[in-house]
This record gives sequence, structure tokens and C-alpha cells, in this order.
Amino acid sequence: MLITLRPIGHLKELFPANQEKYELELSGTWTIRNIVTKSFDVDPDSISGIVVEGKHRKWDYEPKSGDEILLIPPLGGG
Amino acid sequence: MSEDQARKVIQTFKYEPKRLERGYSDRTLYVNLSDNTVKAKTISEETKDVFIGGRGYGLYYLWQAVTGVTKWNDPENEIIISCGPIAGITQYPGTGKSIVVTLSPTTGTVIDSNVGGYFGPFMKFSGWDALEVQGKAERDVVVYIDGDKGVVTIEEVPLGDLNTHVLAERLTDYYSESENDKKNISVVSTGTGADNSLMGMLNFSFYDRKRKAVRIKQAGRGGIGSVFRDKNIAAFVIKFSNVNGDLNNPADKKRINDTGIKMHKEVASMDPKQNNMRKRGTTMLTPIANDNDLLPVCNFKFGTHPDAVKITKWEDKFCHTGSDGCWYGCTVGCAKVVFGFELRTGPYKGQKVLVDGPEYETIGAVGSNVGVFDRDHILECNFYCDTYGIDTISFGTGAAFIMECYENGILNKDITGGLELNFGNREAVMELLHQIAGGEGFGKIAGQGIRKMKKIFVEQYGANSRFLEDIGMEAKGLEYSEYISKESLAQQAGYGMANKGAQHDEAWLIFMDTVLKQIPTFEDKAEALHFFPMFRTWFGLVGLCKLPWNDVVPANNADTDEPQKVPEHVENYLNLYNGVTGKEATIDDILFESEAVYNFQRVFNLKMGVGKREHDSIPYRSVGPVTVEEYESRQERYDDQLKDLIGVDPSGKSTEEKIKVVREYREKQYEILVDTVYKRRGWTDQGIPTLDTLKRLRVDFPDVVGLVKKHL
Ligand code: SF4
Repeated sequence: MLITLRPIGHLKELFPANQEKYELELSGTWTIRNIVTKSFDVDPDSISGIVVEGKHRKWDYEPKSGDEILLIPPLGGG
Repeated sequence: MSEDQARKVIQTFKYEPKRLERGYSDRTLYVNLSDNTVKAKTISEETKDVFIGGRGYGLYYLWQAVTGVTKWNDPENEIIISCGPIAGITQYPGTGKSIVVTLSPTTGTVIDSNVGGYFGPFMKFSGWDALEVQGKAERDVVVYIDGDKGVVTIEEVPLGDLNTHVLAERLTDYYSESENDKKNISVVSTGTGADNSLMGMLNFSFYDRKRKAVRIKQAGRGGIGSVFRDKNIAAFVIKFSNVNGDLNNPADKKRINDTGIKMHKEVASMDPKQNNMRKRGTTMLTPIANDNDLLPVCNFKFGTHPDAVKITKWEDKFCHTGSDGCWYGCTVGCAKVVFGFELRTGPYKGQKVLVDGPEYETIGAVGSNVGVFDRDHILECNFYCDTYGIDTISFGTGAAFIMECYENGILNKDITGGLELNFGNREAVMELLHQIAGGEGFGKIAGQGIRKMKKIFVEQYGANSRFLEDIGMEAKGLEYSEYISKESLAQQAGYGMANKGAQHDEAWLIFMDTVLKQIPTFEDKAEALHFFPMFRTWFGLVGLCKLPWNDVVPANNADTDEPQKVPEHVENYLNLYNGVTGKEATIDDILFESEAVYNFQRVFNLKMGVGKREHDSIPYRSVGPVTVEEYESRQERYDDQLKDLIGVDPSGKSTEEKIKVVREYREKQYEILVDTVYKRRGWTDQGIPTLDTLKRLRVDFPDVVGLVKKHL
């Protein structure tokens, strides 16, 4: 299963390569929490919301192949 | 002669300092500077019930004071400061905001601007839910409220330099008895820029005990400072000692304390992992805006720039030794400060000064939007705007407009008095600012704001009016704040439909719309354009800062059903509101309260001649690419949209032809969204609240209904 992970804004800095996005080939069952904490060792407290294909998803969401997962920091906007 | 001998008290009004009950004193301090009347007015239960406080009270009193033909500089116009029932509690972050309301010199209608600093909460603790100032003084006066003694005076005091960094410090010294007493003083002041332009703002001070310095926050938008100086007000000063968290006499102290303790723990543990506002302030938005094509560059032509990395990081400039809350108890503390900044230009050249800021908006306005990517320039401009009393947003957006006109040959050195106003010329930007503040040279025109400049450039310099309408970034006469809205239809409407003009504080939907793609349909966008403006309005009714709502969130926020609304914080706010007032309001109740005030403000716009659909129009620059250069900078994106969204094959078409097709499509989309939002809000297709809507919201007062009926 191929998924894309996109940390938004300064969340990028928490991921090892400071990249715009990460394409991951995963096998078996994964939740977003597992991907973030186990694959990247990122503290989930930093993440305010998760959006997959325009919909809010929770930490235990199991992504499908082709999903683009956006990880969002708190963004109030002035 | 000593300063005390030179002090001339024109009027003295003594009153019984009143204990607040459940967040209210239920009275207003009315001052008329034409005849020196000072009196207390009682606020009725009915008024309180509908208008709540803060912006609501400002609108209510201004409505009584002005007619549909009153101008900003008529003596009848008022400046009203009010903060609302929650303001002043110290147990929760962000609880000291005041809202200032007046008729704006650039929009001709109501402007409301929120601001931190100590003045508003001190005013409440001194026994006043609002300060209402009407009339014009003959000479510069200070209105001084001694909340400890229960005395209000109108006085002439030796003033000297009126620019805030001098005056606020001087008046803080003058009215305090010792260093320790300075924390009990707050000054509202502006500067020479407010005398000489229409973009004057107000600085509200708070004394930073740790750093022994007068700090300021700004009520920036819409020229409130210009009204202040037109009334010959040099300053409002207030003194109140013995602040403590319980002065509101809340209905349920424990509920407030428990909510506050929980939130402070959350801020302490989450903010460093999240936005780190305590270290970065709102500057943390700059890289996000640049990365996502939202940072205004060169008069909103572009949304990103390779040099923007030079202005995204500020932590090393800020002083981190104290706490930067603009009211007691604000652990978010985003009001960052730079010490010992040496000025390179202007009347204070060579002096080392304190700069309050910069905030994101200032970085965008006086940095990227004028094509200057230099932190020291931004600090210099930030300092001078503040001390001159000039709104950084209106100045920066206005300067960017001038620069584009200059680069297009509409203006030249003969017109600008030698200023070479090309994008990126920081010396010219600073000189323009000094000229505006001094009322000199081309600054006299630039200080009028974009709407008036457009008229002047067409009438006197033969500019093409359509081009200026397209690139002049103002709506309802208010200059745009600093976000590129081209790819966010919802944000375009957020700017265009905002009651006060093009400010993002009603609705900031860019991210939800463009990056997260959460509101794809017109109905989704209209719903967001209902909820967010109404909820954000509520902050201004009760005296809260919006930042602690959604710029720091609880650990489990992503696991809630609506993370964008931060449900736990909404619950906190209900606890604070109900804990102070003794109400048992639900989220629906507070949205209803806001909706009532919001609709009243819409009718107020109608009263002042700007409350219809035609007034919700926006410059095309905020909707799509105006010029070939702009289109071609994002050619791939626009060509794809032509194919995928519009169904037109771009191949073989000139850029001009493609711009035309994109424009027709985007303008139509905007109109469809406006229709959808009007419907959602219960307004006619001309954007007027229906009589049913006014009745449902309990703002169907006879004069409101009479006015609306004339337009239906
Ligand atoms: S979050 Fe910032 S602006 Fe809001 S009250 Fe705190 S210091 Fe002031």
C-alpha cells in the first residue's frame, strides 16, 4: 500500500528530512498514529488535526492505498 | 514652571467606584469634549441582553450618536472603548482585550478594532463597562480616569512630542507615583501620523515590570487614531491599583479557576511542541504563508518569494527574559519585543529603541508586500508606524499599491517628489512613511488610503480606473490584511463580506479551503462563512483574545469530531462565560448572541450607505491574476484550471485571452458564493437582513426596521 504523508508548516521540522511530503510503502495494517509515532518517532501532541482527502480523520484511522494524509499544526490565522 | 503648575484641569467629575457584579458595572462613562460634559450613563438590562459588551456596546452607542450623514470628523462621531464581561479575569490566557469602535475616515462606516494592553480591564475595574467620547476639544487634552479615587478629569498637561514612544512613557511617569506604581497606569495614545493621515491607529500601553518599559498593543484598523486626533485628544490615561483575578465578582469562581488551571497546564506543555508562540509570537505564520503561496509579495501579485526565508525567523531578535502577555495571566505571551534596536532613519535616527513586534501582518505588509526582505527594515518600519500612530497594514498595503502604480508609469518622480518607489526600495518606503507622518510631500496623498488615492490618480494623473480598481487592495475602503486569497474562494468572500472591510478577523478560511480542501461546495463554504464570523465576533463581545482558542490546542484535539473548532476550548469559553455571568449559555446561545450583533452591524453599514451587495465587491487582484506577469508566474496552475474546471483548452490562446476566461469564471464563482452566504445568513439577494431575521435575532428595534424597510 502506497500512502503520502504531508506535514504542514513547521511540523515539517519534526520529521527527519524536513521534506514537503513522504511517500511510504506499507504492508499490513497501520493507523495514522502508528505511522507518525513508529515510522517517524514524532510526538503526536504537536499535531492539531489530520485531514485525508478533505475529511478529518482520527488517530486510529487506517489509511487506504493512495491516501494523502495531511498533518496540521494549530492554525488560527491572526 | 513645574509640570504640575502647567497642568490645567478643565473638568472634574467625581464618582463612586463601583464593584463589578458578574462581569458588569452596568454603566458607561460619557465624555463630551466640545462642552466638557462628563457623566455616567446606566446600561439597561435589555441593552445588555442583546449587545453583551465590547463591540456590541460600541455599536449600540455609536448608533445612538450618529445619523446616516455623520462624517468621521463631525463632533457627533464617537470613540467607544469597551471590553465585555469576561475581560479582566486573570485566570485564563487572553482575557484583556478591548474593542474600539468609531466611524472610520477611510470607509465612512463603522470600524471596530480589538487591542490588548491594560486600559480596557482597568476601565472596567474602575467601574465603567465602556468609555464613550464625543465632541472635539479646543486644544490637546488628556482624559484621565483615576479608578482608585473615583475621579475623571479633562486636562491640559505639558505634552511636547506626541509620538507614542515618547508620550506614553512620559504620561506613565507623570501619573505614577513611583516605579512600582507604573504598572497601574495605562495610556491610549497615537502620534503625528494620525494628525496627518487617515490611517491613524491607537496604541494601548501596558507596563512591563520586569524590563521596566512601557509596552504597546495596537487598535490598528480603519483610522481610529485619526478620529482621536481630530478630536484633539492627546491621550486617555487610566490608573487602577490592586488588580486581582476576582474583581469581576464572577458567579462561579471555582469554575473559572479550574478552567484556567487546566488551560495554563495545556499552554505550558503544548505550545512548545506546537506553534511555540511564546518564543516566536505570530511570526510563526510567515514561513507557513510563504510555503503555501499565501504571503503577499509586491502588492499581492505573488504568494511566495525565494528571499522570504530572510524574514521568516525572528526568535534570535526577540528578548526572551520576561513574559510577553499583553494582559495579566496570558501565558501564551505572543506580544514579542526587540530591545536596543538602532534606528537608521527619521527624527530619532541613531537612537536605540524598543520595538513591540513585529507580528505576522507587519512582516507581510511592510516587508514582502513592498518587496523588501530585510528584518531590520521591518523593525524600523514597525517602530516608526507604532510611534507615529500609523496602521502597519494600511501603510504597507497602501505603499505596495503606490509601488505598482509607480512601476506602471502612473506615478513618476515628478509626482512623488523624487521618491523612486520601485518594489524593494526600502529607503523610499521609509521616506514615504516619514512624509506621511509629517504631512509632507507625496505623503499627503499616500496617507489618504487606497480608495482616495485611486480617485486622485485617475483624476489628476490620468490613470486607467479599471486597472486601479483591479490592483488597489481595499474593500469598503479598508486596506487588505496580508493574505493572498486568489486560490481560496471562501477567503475572498471572507474579505469582501466582512462588515468593517478587508480584514481577516471575521473569517480566516484559506487553509481549510485551499490546503486541506475541507469546504469544497458553495454550501460548505457558506456554512464556514457563517460559523467562523459569528464565533469570532463573540470574542469581541466578551473581551477575549482569539489566539488561545486555536493557536494552541489540547493533546487529543485531532481525535475530536471537529478539530478546526477546538471543541475543548469552546467548552472552556462556555465555562468562563457562564462562570462570570451566571448564565448557562450553550454554544448555540453564544452564536445567537453574536449573530444578533453581527446583523446589527450589517444594518449599521446600511445606515451609513455601504450595506448592500455592491459594497461586498472586491478587487480582482484578490480573486485571480490581473496581469500577464501574474498569470505566467502560475501558468501551469491556471492552464490546468482552464482545462479541468472551466472546460476550455488553453493551447493556442494568448495569455490575455486566458486571463479573460479565468476572470469570467472566477468572478461568477464569487457571485454564486455571495448568494449562498446571503441565503445562509437570512439576508436578501442584495445582502440586507430580512425583517424575519432581525426579529428572530431580537434586533428589530423600530429605527432598525424603519431603515431596513426603506431598502427592501
Ligand atoms: S495571545 Fe498574545 S495577543 Fe492574545 S492576549 Fe496573549 S499576548 Fe495578547
